[in-house]
Amino acid sequence: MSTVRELHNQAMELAQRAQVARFEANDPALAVRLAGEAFRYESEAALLVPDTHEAEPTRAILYRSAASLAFQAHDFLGAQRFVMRGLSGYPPPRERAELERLYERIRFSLYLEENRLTVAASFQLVLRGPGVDYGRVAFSEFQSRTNATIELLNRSVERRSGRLYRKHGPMNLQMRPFIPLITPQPPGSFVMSIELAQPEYEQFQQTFLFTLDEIVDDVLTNVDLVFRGERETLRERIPDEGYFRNFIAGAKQIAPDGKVISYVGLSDMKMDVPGTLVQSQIPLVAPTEQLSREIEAKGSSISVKGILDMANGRGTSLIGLMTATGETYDVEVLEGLEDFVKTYFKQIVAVSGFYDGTKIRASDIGPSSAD
Amino acid sequence: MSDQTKPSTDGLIIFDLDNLPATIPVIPPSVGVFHALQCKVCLDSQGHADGVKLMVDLSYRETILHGQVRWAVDVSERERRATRDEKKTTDFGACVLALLFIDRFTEYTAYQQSATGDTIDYLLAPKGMLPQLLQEDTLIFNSPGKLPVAYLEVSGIRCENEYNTIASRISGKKRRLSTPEDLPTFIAIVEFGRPSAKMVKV
Repeated sequence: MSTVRELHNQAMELAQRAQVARFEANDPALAVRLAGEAFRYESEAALLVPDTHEAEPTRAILYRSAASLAFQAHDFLGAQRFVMRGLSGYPPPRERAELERLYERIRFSLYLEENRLTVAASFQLVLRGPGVDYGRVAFSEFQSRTNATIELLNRSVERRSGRLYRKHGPMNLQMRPFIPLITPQPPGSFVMSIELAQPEYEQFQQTFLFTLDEIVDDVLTNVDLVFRGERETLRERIPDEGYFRNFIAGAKQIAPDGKVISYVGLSDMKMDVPGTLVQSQIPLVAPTEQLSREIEAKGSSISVKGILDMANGRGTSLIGLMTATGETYDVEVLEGLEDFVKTYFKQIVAVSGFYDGTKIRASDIGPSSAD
Repeated sequence: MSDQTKPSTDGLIIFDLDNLPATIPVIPPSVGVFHALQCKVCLDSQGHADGVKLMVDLSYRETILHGQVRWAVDVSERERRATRDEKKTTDFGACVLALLFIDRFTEYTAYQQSATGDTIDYLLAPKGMLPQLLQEDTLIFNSPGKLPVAYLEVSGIRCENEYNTIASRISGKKRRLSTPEDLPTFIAIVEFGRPSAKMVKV
């Protein structure tokens, strides 16, 4: 009969080989198989250790190790069983904390499995700046950028599916081929992983002719073009005017503001997109000769600050603005900008554009302070 | 002192990545090349080549030492492409150097490992006491007769910046370890941009 040491050593050799298969050979199936073999040895070793005070920390470490290997082998119920057994002994504080941490990871993996979700693509969003602490960030800075990122993914799915630009109403989430997941990363700046979990339903596999990896590539490449000011290349990639403006507005919302957030980065396994421009350097609508002529012919340029409110005219693309002195303006928002303008509702915004005496045709709009 | 970390002719301590299993017995020969590659990729990605100098701050001894990381075969383009998971590669690369530091600068060596999450944890023991520890076949992680075994906690930074520093990583690790510990812990943070590392003992 093998000893605990012999069984554990065999398990660790296999665990190391599983790591190599996962991270170097990029062979997840082999990694899962090797982790499963390692689990068999490690669980056998753990079961040989008596359930006594004196057996700690060996007992807790071996149960935690066996549970981790079962987790890597995607045997989540087996992993849960070994965590429970490890906790039922007398684990020292450090091992207890590790077992509890692992239990939470297993429970989430079971949730994904029960809902037939698999993580099909992922990328990282990094925020740095005076408004970012060690693994902590102001909620509004986090919320606006994650919402904008998810919105760009939604719109890219619709565009790549050949759908006409949706001018009104929310996306039909039943037809979205992913569920976004957020994972905070070990602190440094504020780093989070955004993962796209794909439902394993046939309807999705038949409906969409692209992978979620391709959608992430598409979004990152296009954000990179906005951040580098290469609008013409972006226009070639997104010829539809609504999708084009919508993308610029989303990328602008993700970009650093230069005050609270000084750096934003997006990255996946293939590319890094550093945020080199700040929001004020990314106009929503690029000034064109035609627009300039219109301004001269029809009105005067204007910059005004106020609270975004309901539009007087209730037109589909009209919003209202009330200044601190009580003046009200109707503001016309171009197609493509609705997703992002609506996030400023009831907030103080700065609007610039040209005013024809009845309404402001906005060329740029963004959050502002009361001063 | 092992062959892998002997002083070079100019007095620098050499950390040889080409034969890790000889220095760190818990790294099996079958995966030694993999671990070495992770470390080489981290350094290569920051524009460093074989022979790059490395500063190690052993703050618990109030000593700063200088070394040189050596390897024979450069990283190939295929290997660069195969290791694009920057976070994992950085963690593996940092772990390799941390294990070499432990072997070279402390009285400890890694003698036992266990799986945790999707990675490997290392337990350290005084080198001279390995034979005694290896006699125990069942309670393999216990410390018979109060032998001073210790944990190793490692973190890697691919390129330090004002928001992601060795100091901030050390305080983060310390915060995480704030629960009462049954065993002493070495924390090693390795930075690959301007290759340097800091080891503290808590």
